[in-house]
Formats: sequence, C-alpha cells, structure tokens
Amino acid sequence: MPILPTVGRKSPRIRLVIVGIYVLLVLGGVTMVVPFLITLTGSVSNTADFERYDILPAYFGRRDLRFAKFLAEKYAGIRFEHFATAHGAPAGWSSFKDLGFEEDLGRYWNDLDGKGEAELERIASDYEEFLAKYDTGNMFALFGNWGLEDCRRFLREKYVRLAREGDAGARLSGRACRARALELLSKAWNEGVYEYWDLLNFDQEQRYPYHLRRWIPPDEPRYTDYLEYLRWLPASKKVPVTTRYLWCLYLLDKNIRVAGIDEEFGTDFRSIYRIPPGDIVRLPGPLGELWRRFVSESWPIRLVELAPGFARGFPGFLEDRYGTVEAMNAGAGTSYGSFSDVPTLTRLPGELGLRRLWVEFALGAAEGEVTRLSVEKDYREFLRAKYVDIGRLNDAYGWRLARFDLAELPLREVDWLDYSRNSGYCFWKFLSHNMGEVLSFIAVRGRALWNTGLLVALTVLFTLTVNPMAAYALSRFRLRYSQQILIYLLATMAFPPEVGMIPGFLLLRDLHLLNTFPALILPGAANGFTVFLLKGFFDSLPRELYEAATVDGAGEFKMFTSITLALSKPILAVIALQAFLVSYGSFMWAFLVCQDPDMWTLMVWLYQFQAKNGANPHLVMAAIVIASVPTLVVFAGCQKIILRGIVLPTMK
Amino acid sequence: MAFQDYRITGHSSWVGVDNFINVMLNKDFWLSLRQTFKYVILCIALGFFTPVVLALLLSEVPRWKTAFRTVFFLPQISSGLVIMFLWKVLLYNPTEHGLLNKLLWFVDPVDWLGDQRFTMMAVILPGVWAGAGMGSLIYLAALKSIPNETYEAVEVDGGGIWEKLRHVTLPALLPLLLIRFVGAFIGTFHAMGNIFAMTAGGPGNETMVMGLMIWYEAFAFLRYGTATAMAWILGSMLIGFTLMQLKILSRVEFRRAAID
Repeated sequence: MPILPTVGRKSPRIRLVIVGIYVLLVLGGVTMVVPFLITLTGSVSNTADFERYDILPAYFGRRDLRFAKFLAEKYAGIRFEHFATAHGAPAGWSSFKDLGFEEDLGRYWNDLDGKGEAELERIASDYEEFLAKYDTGNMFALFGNWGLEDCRRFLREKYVRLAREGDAGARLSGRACRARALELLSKAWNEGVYEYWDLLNFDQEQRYPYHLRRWIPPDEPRYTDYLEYLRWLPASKKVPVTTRYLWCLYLLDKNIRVAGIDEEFGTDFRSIYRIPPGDIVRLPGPLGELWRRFVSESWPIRLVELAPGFARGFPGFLEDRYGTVEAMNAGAGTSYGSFSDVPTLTRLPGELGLRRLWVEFALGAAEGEVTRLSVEKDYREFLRAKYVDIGRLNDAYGWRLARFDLAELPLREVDWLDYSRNSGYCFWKFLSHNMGEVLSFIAVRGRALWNTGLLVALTVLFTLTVNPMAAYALSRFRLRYSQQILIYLLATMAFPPEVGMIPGFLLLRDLHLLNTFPALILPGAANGFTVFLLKGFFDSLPRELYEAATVDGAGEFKMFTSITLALSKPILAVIALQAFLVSYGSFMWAFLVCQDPDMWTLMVWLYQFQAKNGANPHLVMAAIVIASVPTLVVFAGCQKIILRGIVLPTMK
Repeated sequence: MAFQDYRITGHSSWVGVDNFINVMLNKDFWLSLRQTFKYVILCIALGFFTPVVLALLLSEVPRWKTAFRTVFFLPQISSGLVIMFLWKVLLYNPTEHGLLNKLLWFVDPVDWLGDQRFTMMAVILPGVWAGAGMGSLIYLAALKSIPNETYEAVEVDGGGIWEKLRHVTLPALLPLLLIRFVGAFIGTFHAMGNIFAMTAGGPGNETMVMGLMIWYEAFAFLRYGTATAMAWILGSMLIGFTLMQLKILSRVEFRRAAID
C-alpha cells in the first residue's frame, strides 16, 4: 500500500479511504460471485424454479417446491391445462413458473397430506387397473424431459429387435445392428432421424392434437409406435385427455371471465380450471349455453358413439356420395363388394379409408343421436362395477361423494403418491438431469469433444512452434532488414480483422481447406504481436550464453531449445494459455470455416444448443457450467504461470 | 477485391471504385459509423479505466489481496460467448423476473436488449465486467514495479495521496496506459462477435457497428466487394492510430514483471 501514507494511518481520513476501498472491492466481488452462483443454481433448476434466480437452490429446504418441480417435470411437453384442470389450479397460474413463485404451495395439497396412506394406495392401484384397459389412443405420455430416456430405450429395443428378425439380422454385430435399427426407424417414420433425440415426446400434442374436432388418428408407423409406447408405459407416466381438459381449452378460447360469472351467479369457481363440465352439474347462465355449444360444435368427433339407428344410415351416406361402390373403393382405398357390405359403425372405424368418411357422416348427427365418450364416464363405470354402492367407494377411498357420477379422475392423488414414493429419485434427477441432457447432446452430436480437444492441442502446439522460431530467427541473426520485417509483421495488426477474414475465408476455400482442422488452426497460428514480443524478449537474453554454447559445439536447434526456450518458459506459458483460451472460445470463425456439423467445436454446438433451447434456460445454464469446466481447470492450474509471465513495456 | 464485383463462383468483374461509391451513398453505412463511434466511446470510457481503478484498489487494500484478485478473476473462467449468454439470459431477461429488472423493482420492467435507449450500454457492460479482472493484472504488475522509495520521497516532501498519484503513479503507468489505450481503441472499432451474440445488430440498427455490418455484408449477403470496401474505409480511418501504435511499439521494450 504505497500510495496511502505509511504514517498516520489511524487518522480518520485515511481510515475512511481504506473502508471505501473495502466497500468498493466487496461490492465488485459480489457482482462477480453472484452471477456465478446463480448460474450454478440455475443449472440444477427446472421450469418451475429457474426464474426465481436463487443464489442457492431454494428447493433444497422446501418440500412443496420440490413437489412443484416434480409436477413441472411430470407435465412437461404437454399443455399446462392438463395439469391445471387435473389439480384445480388457482386462477393466477398459467405456467409452472407461477408455481415456483408461490411462497406456500403446501396449502394446495393439504387435503392429500392428511390422507391415509392405505386409501391413496388403493385409489392409485385401482386407477392403474382402470387405465391399463383404457384406450391408448386418448392419452399422452408424461415426463416430456425425463421420459426421453424411456422413450429412447423403448424405440431402441423395438427396432433392434426388428433388425435382428430381419434378413441377415442374426449375423450382425451389436453396433451394426443398432445402425440398422436406426435405418429402419428413419425409414418407417419417413424422416431423417440420426440419433435417438428429437423423438415423439417432444411434440406429441403438436403432432397429435386430440382436442381438435375433426382430428382423426393417422395411419402411420410413427403413430403406431407411439401407441405401443403408451401401452408399454406404467399408469403414472401417462395422462388421459379428460373432458375437463377439453372443456377448459374451449373456455380459454372463448375468453371467459370467471370472476364476473362468480359475482353474477353466486358461484364459487374462482378459476377457469375449476369450472366443471356441464354433463355432471347444471352450469349457470352463459356457461350452460357455452357447454351446449361446446358439445355440438367443438367436441372431438373421434370421441363420439352414434345411436344404432343413425349409424345404419352410413352405407346410404356413402352411396349418396360416391354413387357406385367401385368409385368409393377407388376414392377411399377400400375394397367392398357392395355398399351393403359396409358394416354399421357406431364408433370411429379402424380402417383409415372409412375414417374420414365416417367423421363427415358423424358430423351430421343431431344432438339426440350421439353419446359422448369420455375417460371420466369410463372411470365412473369402472368404479360402479367395482364398488357397486357409493358408500363402499367412499369408505375405501376416503371420499364423500353423493353419487358415482361426481367422481373425477384421481390424478391429484396419483401425482401426490407418485412423488412421495420417488422423492429420492426426483431429487437426484433435479440435480443431474440438465447436465445429463447437455452431455448427451454433446456426446451424441457430431464429434464436438474430439474436435475441440484436437483443435486446442494443435493450436497451442502451432503457436508455440511458429512464433518462437520466427522470433528466434529475427533476434539471433541480425539481418539487414530485421527491423523492417518486424514492422511488416506488426502491420498485420493494423488491418481490421474483417479485411483479412474475407480473403482468408476465400483463400481457405480455394485451397479446399474448408471444414478441415487447418482452416481452424492455421489463420491464427502466427501472430505479429507475439513474434514482436518474443523477439524483444529474446534480445534481452545474454549473448554470452550462445557464444558459450557454440564453443561447446551445440547446434542452432540445440541452442534454440535449451537456451532460448528454456529461459523464456513463463512467457511461452502465457502465450500458450492465450492460444488455448482463444481457440477454445472461438466461435464465429469456427462456425464460418467449418459449416459441416461434423467439424463443429464445443462453442459452436453450445451456440446451437442455446438457440434450440431458448425456452429452457436452465439447460443453457447447465451448458454454460459444463463449458466452463475446462477453462476453470486450466486457470486453477496456471494461476502462478499467468502471474509470473506478465510483460510490461518500458521506454527504451 | 474491393474494386471487383466479387463472386464466390464464376467470373468477378472489375468495377473500379463503384463499391466505394456505393458504400459512401449508403445511408446505413453512415448510421453504422455513428453507432460505431458511440460504441467505441462508451467502451473506452467504461472498459478502459475500470481495470486501472481496480488495480489501484487491489494494490492498496491492506488485506485479502489474493482473495479479492481471485474473485475478480472468476468471469475469466467462462469464455466470451458464455458470458454473453449469461447476461442475456439472466440479467437482461425482459420480464419482471430478470435480475436487473428485479434490482430495479421500483420501475417498470425494461427490455434491456430490445429498447433502443439501453441496448448499446447493455451490449458493452458484459465485456467490461468480464475483462476487469484480467485487465487489472498487468496494471497490478506495473504498480508493483514502482519502487516504494519514490512514494516515500513524495511523502517526505509533504505530498498526499493525490500528489503521489499524479507525480509517481501516473508517469510510471503512462507508457503502459498509452499502449493499452491505442490497442483498445483499435480493438473496439473491430468488435462484433459479442454484439452478434447479444443482439445481432438490433433492435433496428441500434447496435449495427461497422464490424458487424461488414460481416453481414460479406457472409450473409455475399457482397464481398462492398464488404471489403467498407473494411478498407474503416481501416484507413484507423490508420493514424495504427501508425501511432507502431511508433510507440518500436520505442518500447518488454520486460517481464511478476506479482508475488
């Protein structure tokens, strides 16, 4: 502390200055540490708690937050309304982020907390029994993120089995068999799937919009696989499309103001997610009218059963439409002998050709001629068959229902139990899932790790060969024009890099070096300023050393390595370190000269990853943490080297 | 190349100074020049002096020097791109939950990268923040190399903190400051990577600095001729500074200095 006086340090003014310095440094230090910690915390968060931007993960000490995070994972990849209607979410929630900001989430699940374990178990096992028999074509897979592992495993197993069963499959090695399986999968799905990544979990609801009125199941292997996958999943990992859900989507679309309705009709819905469907209760005022419009205009036709009397009109409908049976066979791809051979279909037929026609036919049915199928109805039937008497059901489940028709799917109970059973596993997943996702992204895609490692190693090697050699030549042999050569080298700095970038790019192209390692390494290998720096430093080494070495019979290369390089280790170390940092962090040039994904480095992939995962910033955080590990290691190991290798300019 | 209608494939025709004229007549070019100056001035004002001040503070703090130094070094472990993401995702989140917006809870949430009033500042700050620790090292070494006796001499002559700074520290740091200043000045004129990652030139053309514009012109629109012409114009504007840099560099020599 040379500037502050050494005597009179106790004077109030100096003390004030010292305190000021501490305050400034601590404040600055906080700005350095806090984002660092938030990044770490963010990398172990998910949709529910990421935007809390906690410095330390709050969920470590809060069970309710852990449950919210679990729900966010469970209902990931499908619309929020699935969760919101199943759990009767309050009005303010429109995504899982809103759950993360709640101070006391426990109050929404209080009733379940007090419920007996045995009752919950019974509810869940009955539900499982029910769902096992329920139509897989009316449900979605849960765990859009964590379930990817399941999904990949399922598909791999299925297609590897297919590959083995295929011709010559038995003779294939494990690796070749997996490659063949991928090929089969890509062909069946009719798209380029290079790895088990962008598979169905992500876009099931976009691809299969069950809530649309006219949507019918497609006849494609991808969908068949999807159904098979659903059948393979346990009950806790899938959710049926409920009437409540469809009704809620309709209400949201119509922009219903729940508060207004509550006020006007004295109801107590409080949230749009809690408005019950009109088939079990009488809805007041405009809601009743909306319900009637919903079932007649918006109810999915695939969930309809026609009255037998009306269904008998189907062959006639076809005849009116096509005239002759040949025309129908040609138009719809069916093969019937006559119209009377067409069966009387009360439900959506399995035959794709007839499906579209049947939907059009069913659209013409009047309100009295259709029965709506819903998972709730089936569940109520199931309970009625199992328990017969409502009193027995209430005893067994701990419910207080007046009649079977009021029973709702026990999704809350199932979710609650699911979490209680697997809380340890969930905690582990909270910590590790993001990292695992990033690692598998990097490991599977291209050869990012290998590319980056090789690039960094080669860059450091080249920088440490080219520059010192040039500097040595300039320093050791006093050439006539060495000063001019040096100026010439320095002049490269004068040009803006863009000027060099374009011809550099074109030159690489003309040399056919695009998408190769030389393109990444060569342009930055020689640096005018580094040569200048090294030359100056080499000049300062005593000449006598070289003379002594010459007397001892050392060759030029020997002198170069054992005198020059040996004496300038600290500076070389710093230069190597910079080369490492620049090559590891370079992104634009790397992207420009190597546009082939096989040649992308870690940074380029990272850029891709963040562009792809804009909606999942917690994954980006995990990627950041992982990308920082190599630099952290290098810096931790080289701190001494950096501090000893600083060069200062002094006037000659 | 600047004198050609350069095509990646096929024949490139000679167009004389047409490219330069086109560039000169391009309104966007002049706008981007203005934005570049704004960027450079802000960058230098914030980014150049922060490490100097930090080094002074670090060298004067009586205790925990190494600890503070290490802390300020933290951003360095993540590369430039990572730092840009960090700021973009965490601090500049335009909703009320963004960190900066949380700190300023008393005003309406600001879209830091999307609002023209703040974008330029928002683009510059991450670099300043991340570079402070590394940048201060060299000044720290320079401060260390000033012999204590010089300060004591001033003290004997009755000089206070201010006199010491003015008559000892400043002259001792001057060559270093000068070199770093010219280097930083030229460097910031060419900056683009960080801006590309943050805003890609937007909103509107608010952060479309020359470096970025040249990049777009060449690699997005494939107009290599005009891009090169722009680069030459930029380069020739900086030629004075470059010559100055060369002159200083040829007058100094580099010595190794160490911090404990």
